[in-house]
Amino acid sequence: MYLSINVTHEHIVFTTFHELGRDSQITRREFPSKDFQKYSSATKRFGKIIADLSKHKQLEGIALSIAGYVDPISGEVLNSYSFRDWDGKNIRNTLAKFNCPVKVENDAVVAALGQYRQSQKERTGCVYFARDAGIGAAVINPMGDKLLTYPVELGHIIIVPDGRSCECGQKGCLEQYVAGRGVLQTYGLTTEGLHDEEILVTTARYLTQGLMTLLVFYPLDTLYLTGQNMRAQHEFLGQMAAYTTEMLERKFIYTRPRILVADIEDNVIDRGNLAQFTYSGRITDMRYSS
Amino acid sequence: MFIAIDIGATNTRVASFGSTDPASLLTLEKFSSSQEYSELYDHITESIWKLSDGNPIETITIGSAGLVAPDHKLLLRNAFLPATANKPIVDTLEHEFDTKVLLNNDAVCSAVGESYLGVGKQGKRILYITISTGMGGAFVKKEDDKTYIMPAEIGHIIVDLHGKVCECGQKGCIGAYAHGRGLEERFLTKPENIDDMRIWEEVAEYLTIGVINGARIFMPDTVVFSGALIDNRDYVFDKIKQLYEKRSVLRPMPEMVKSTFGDKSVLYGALAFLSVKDAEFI
Repeated sequence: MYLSINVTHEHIVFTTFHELGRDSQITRREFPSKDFQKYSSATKRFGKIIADLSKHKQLEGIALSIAGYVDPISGEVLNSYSFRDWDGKNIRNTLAKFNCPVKVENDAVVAALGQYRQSQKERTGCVYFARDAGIGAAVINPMGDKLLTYPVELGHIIIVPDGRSCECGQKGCLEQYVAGRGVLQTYGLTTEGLHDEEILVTTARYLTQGLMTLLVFYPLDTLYLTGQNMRAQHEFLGQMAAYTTEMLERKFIYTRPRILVADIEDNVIDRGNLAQFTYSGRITDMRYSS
Repeated sequence: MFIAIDIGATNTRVASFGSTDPASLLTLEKFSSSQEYSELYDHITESIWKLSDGNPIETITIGSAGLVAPDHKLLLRNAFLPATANKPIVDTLEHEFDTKVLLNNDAVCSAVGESYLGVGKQGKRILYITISTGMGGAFVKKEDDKTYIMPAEIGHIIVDLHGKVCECGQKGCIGAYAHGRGLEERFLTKPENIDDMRIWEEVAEYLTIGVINGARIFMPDTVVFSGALIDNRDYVFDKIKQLYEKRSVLRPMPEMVKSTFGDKSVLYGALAFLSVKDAEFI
């Protein structure tokens, strides 16, 4: 049995699977994130929940995804904006007591891996909208028989000099204009509640600007937009894909990727978490030194 | 003997080296980069004949402004020397001098040079940024048996979708506000004639955004600055460091340093490529 743990700003979701293939989900349990803010109490709760889920079963692997900077090599959380007390803690070591392989990764990378499993095996980028928080992105690049996985803190790229204050401490970050709490604060709406065309166009304008920054560094074949809650966000993401494609056509002079909405459902993170075991030949994350 | 060539927007330099060690620099020639490709090519070959003086050439290595084709045989685009685009410079030099010729982007060369021979020697993830007539950069990640290289067109980060037109054709690129040509177009005078500190503070502001965004993407442990606009202006460099510390939350802060090789960084970098193990472009 494999366990996928998705740590989000709102909830922590535990999902168990019989095997790494599709459609083998066994159980899914969701807990409010607020109960896991303190790392010491979170690890105690993790222990109880995992022990309960794996009762009478052999755990083959645990994969955990979380927003923010994570070192996938050591398993240490470097900077997670929603779980400050987790910073500097090593999740892999904490979960080692379950005597199975443990993978720890940035949530956007995991979403990208989940999408990559279904994609055309090209240079794939994935922009991941967390429902009530921010925006992340990751690039997956096949290189020979290996995969380069490359997380990008797209949400904290500065697109407006001296712009709105972001909770990360910077000013003018993309996510203040496009996603999560930024949209909530500005328009009083969550992203899936955005239907006003003027607001959508403004939002797409900023997303386009952010993507142009990503694309000058990293040309992509395909770029997927996906969300933490795909069903609810599907219309928003579809509109964003359409507007952003149009704006990129007009404004971006380099090779433009196809912009698609991810076609897999709400379990994109679980699929990606499980894919961490499949793609064991990944090239070291570019952000860290091995 | 090794020949290294730096084809820059303003000047071209050709240097001879006794070995792949940068300390073995023998002679250096510098001339204006002609906008006519044939004239530029002739000038380069004349210099090579003169510098080699009948000695056998082991390799010619070139660093040039512009976008290098994936097979490293020609330049696909060069905003500053458009005539060099799609010219078979590698094949013709190989034929004329009967030796191997390597072509790489100039910022990539400098990044490799600084990462292996210069101020970034101790770093493992080095972001190199050069600001002179134009603006470019590259990210180098060093591993024991491998080097990953990502060219970084940092000058084309967009700061305003409806902003000033950049020479690349886009609007609102940082370069249009911060590099030499951008400043010249805005203020109708060469950057060396601009002494209004408010302008240089604004340049530092825009460059800081470029550095923060570059750092968000690459997570460097070292950021190396180079180019005429920075080399001669410590206050711009200091201001960037100051603003970065104030505006970026990324910790630990990368070490920010100025280039070791200054205006010879492309030459040394082109040479350094000969010593880099298993370089992979991403």
